[in-house]
Amino acid sequence: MRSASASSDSTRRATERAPGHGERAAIGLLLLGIFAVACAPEPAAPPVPEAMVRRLTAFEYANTVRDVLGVEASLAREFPGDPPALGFDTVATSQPPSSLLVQIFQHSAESIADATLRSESARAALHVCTPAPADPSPCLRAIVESLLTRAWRRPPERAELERYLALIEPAELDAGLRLVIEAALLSPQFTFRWERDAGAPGESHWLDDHALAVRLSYFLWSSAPDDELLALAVVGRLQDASVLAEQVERMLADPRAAGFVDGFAGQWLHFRGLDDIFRDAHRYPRYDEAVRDSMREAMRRRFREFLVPGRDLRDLLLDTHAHVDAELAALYYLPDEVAVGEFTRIDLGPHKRRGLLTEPGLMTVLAYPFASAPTRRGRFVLEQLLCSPLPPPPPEAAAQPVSDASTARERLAHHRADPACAGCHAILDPIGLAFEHFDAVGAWRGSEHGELIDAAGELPTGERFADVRELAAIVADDPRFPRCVATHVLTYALGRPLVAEDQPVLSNIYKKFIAADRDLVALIVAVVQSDPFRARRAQEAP
Amino acid sequence: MKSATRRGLSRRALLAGGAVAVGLPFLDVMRPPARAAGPVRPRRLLCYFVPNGVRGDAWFPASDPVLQLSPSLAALAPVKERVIVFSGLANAPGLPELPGSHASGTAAFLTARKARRSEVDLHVGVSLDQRYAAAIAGATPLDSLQLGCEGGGSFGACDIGFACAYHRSISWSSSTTPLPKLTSPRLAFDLLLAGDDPGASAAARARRRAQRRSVLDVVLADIHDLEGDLGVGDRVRLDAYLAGLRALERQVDAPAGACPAASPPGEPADFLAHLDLMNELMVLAFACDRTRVLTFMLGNAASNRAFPFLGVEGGHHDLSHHAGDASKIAGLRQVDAWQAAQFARLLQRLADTPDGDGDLLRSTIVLLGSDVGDGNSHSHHDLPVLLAGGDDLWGGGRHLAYETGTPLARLYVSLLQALGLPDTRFGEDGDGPLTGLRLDA
Repeated sequence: MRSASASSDSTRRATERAPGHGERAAIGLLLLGIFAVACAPEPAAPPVPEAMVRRLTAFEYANTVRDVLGVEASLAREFPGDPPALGFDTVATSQPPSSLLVQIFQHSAESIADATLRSESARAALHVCTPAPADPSPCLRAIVESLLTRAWRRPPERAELERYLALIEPAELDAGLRLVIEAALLSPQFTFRWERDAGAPGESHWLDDHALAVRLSYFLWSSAPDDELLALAVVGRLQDASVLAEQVERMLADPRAAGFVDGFAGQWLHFRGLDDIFRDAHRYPRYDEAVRDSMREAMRRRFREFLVPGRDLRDLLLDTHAHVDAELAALYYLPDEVAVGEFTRIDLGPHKRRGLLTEPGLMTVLAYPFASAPTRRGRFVLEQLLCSPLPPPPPEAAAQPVSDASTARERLAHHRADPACAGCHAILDPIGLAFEHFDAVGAWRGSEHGELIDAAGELPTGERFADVRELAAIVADDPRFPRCVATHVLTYALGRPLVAEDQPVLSNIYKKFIAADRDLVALIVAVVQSDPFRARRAQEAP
Repeated sequence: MKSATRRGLSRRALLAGGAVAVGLPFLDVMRPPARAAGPVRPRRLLCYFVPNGVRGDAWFPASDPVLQLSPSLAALAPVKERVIVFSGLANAPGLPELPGSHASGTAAFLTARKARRSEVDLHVGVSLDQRYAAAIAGATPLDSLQLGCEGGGSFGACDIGFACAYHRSISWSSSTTPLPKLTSPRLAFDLLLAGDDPGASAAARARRRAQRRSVLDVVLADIHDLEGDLGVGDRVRLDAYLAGLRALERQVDAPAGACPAASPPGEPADFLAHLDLMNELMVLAFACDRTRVLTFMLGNAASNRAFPFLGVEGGHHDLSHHAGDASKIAGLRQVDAWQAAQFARLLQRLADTPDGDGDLLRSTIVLLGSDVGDGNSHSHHDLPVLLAGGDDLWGGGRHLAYETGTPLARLYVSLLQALGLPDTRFGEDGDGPLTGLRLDA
């Protein structure tokens, strides 16, 4: 009961923004009137691969509680992390849950119920009406129905509503509401995202509207659908491709798109991993938790620029500006007269830096505790940006020979002398060594152990670059880059590995992305409009 | 859980060097141990994982059946007579066909089975601890509890082609279900006490139980409604959830237990404080009989934790691939000795905690091991294996040297039998008990 506290200012604002119950009903009726003729999708869905139900990640759980109840799920920070699969925790949550997790959900639900009833704003949002002393039932019903609809992302069935209402003694409203919240949050209806099968096992069908709203909101917000999405679901409008496109733009412009920034980009570009990066204070006196937080925020801001239509995603790598605050100023060696306080954009012209690849946060995540890590940095470019992973190293690579080289370039040159290692390292090393000017916390350096750093290189294709800025341009123009981005976004959206059946869909999405000059918003719209996002294959009967 | 390791370490660093028990505020059960008249049969199991193998030349004892503590194990001196060190044991199923030794070795640590190389289609085997937990299910409020000190980066890949779960879990309740571990002392404490407020009155606690019961009834009805709608794949997930709710039901019905008044731990200031709290939680869990099965991961597979408080430069995994560098090898030995000291402190706390006519260590089997033997070459033979407690069956102060390649899984058969199970096989190569362990066999 100690563990949850009232929501932060920003979430309270979000709660206040949400229309009240009566207002919501009015919007629903209005929409119903306008779109009386709901656009039915094509009758039969094309075959799509089977997908398993997914549990909410700890991140999704916290966001959902914030948006549904207006309080912070503070225990969610201490949930056991979902170990990523294919680089995303959302993929891992298709694994069956452990008993321990169910126990954690119970404990957390009790703590959140307590926080909700303690918070004035959360209580106010919960009470969509005031029970009449003579006949409290209609209002109690409205309160519980509203809560379950938001928490479960769909209206409750009549039997479900009765079951939850039975937990309330009207004379002890608070005690009853506490139990309703506890049960609603412990229910698998909250902790999982179920999608109902319609039709024969093995056959594909279009998702129902609420399930589609849920896929959309967890993809772009890592949270529950808001009233507008639920209202659109009620009238069947989400099946319309143009409505989906409008919703994507609306949702990406909403502050809740922070869920996509941290959930997708935080894992794709590794900045979520900064949480776990510690550095020796003597060797890296500039690095502390405040710097780490600023590194992450700088990367968020760089990525967020691409959530509005009209940007070319190549600029993620090519942009000549960075977001810098007072914490990061020292890492950039900004002169004192450039007084930086809050985050501001600086021109990277004088800094020998460019775009994502020289972000201090990225350089820090891709380093060893006490040194730069050219192989990790090279792998990041090959795996995360180009989707061209190298084969695993040979077994004997684990026991490396002694090296007395003073620079990383010399050390790797010795390594390449081993024929078992040479093949892969010929690809990996030139890329990784291009980053050598950036130390283990992403600060620029001219030399290592007294030897001048040479960041120039040549790729196996013969392309030459003088430094990481020229390498960034090569990677940005590599056709594998946009295709790789499409692969990551689709995998994240579907929460499952892509299989052979998905390849035509992926190609189609990729073509639309290219046709839109690599506009990330267009890519996301194409993903949301694709068949595997909108359809489901009915599972075998048990 | 964030473990800041940079500040305020000098006092801790001193304490960390030896087996000094640090008194912790939330559990006070230290009393002088008594000795039982008859033999005590072990009924608890604690499996303790250390990552990255060890530097064998300073870890393994001299080849004498009477245990001579090696430099890396020196801190075990106070509990030496209750410890058995093994050499020669191997976990062949831990060896992957391609690289990925840390993932496969960690997955095989307690399962003695080969892990399937996959990001989403996990498969290895039921772990030793979970085999025992299943056999005694219902005996305590929690069938088992998984704890650790490293949550793990929430990004990127872990080991080539292996899902990160293989790196972060040593307990598997089925061949496809890794059990996540708790790294938060506060959450672990709350779960151990099942959210009971020890300060509340008996009537208030009874009311709370009744309320939990009605909440569970509603949620179970939700599950019942769902069941009919699901296909076979989703049904498996719902059934796993249902199993968790059934465990909660048992907890609600379980007696409160004679747990000494305990106050919840705060947020640990640093890694060493974190480790102390986790040690205390393990003692609390056993002392209050909240569970009889614990696993603990000091670090995740291939942990690259830095040890600035030891004056060692470099991350653990990087050090383990020392490539013959003398300073890295020296650092590795320091880390090994420090790990042994932490383990020794836990053993001492168990030994200092009374249990019936004896102490907790006497009724507990404690096993320490790692994913690989030598971290530099990723060998899966000559593993570091250490056994403590369960004294009445096999004594202590012994060094049991086996022929290189003797299956570790045979030790697991012996342990399951010692815990009263009829098992005669375990994992892929546990074809019988380990000879020479039991004093009576």
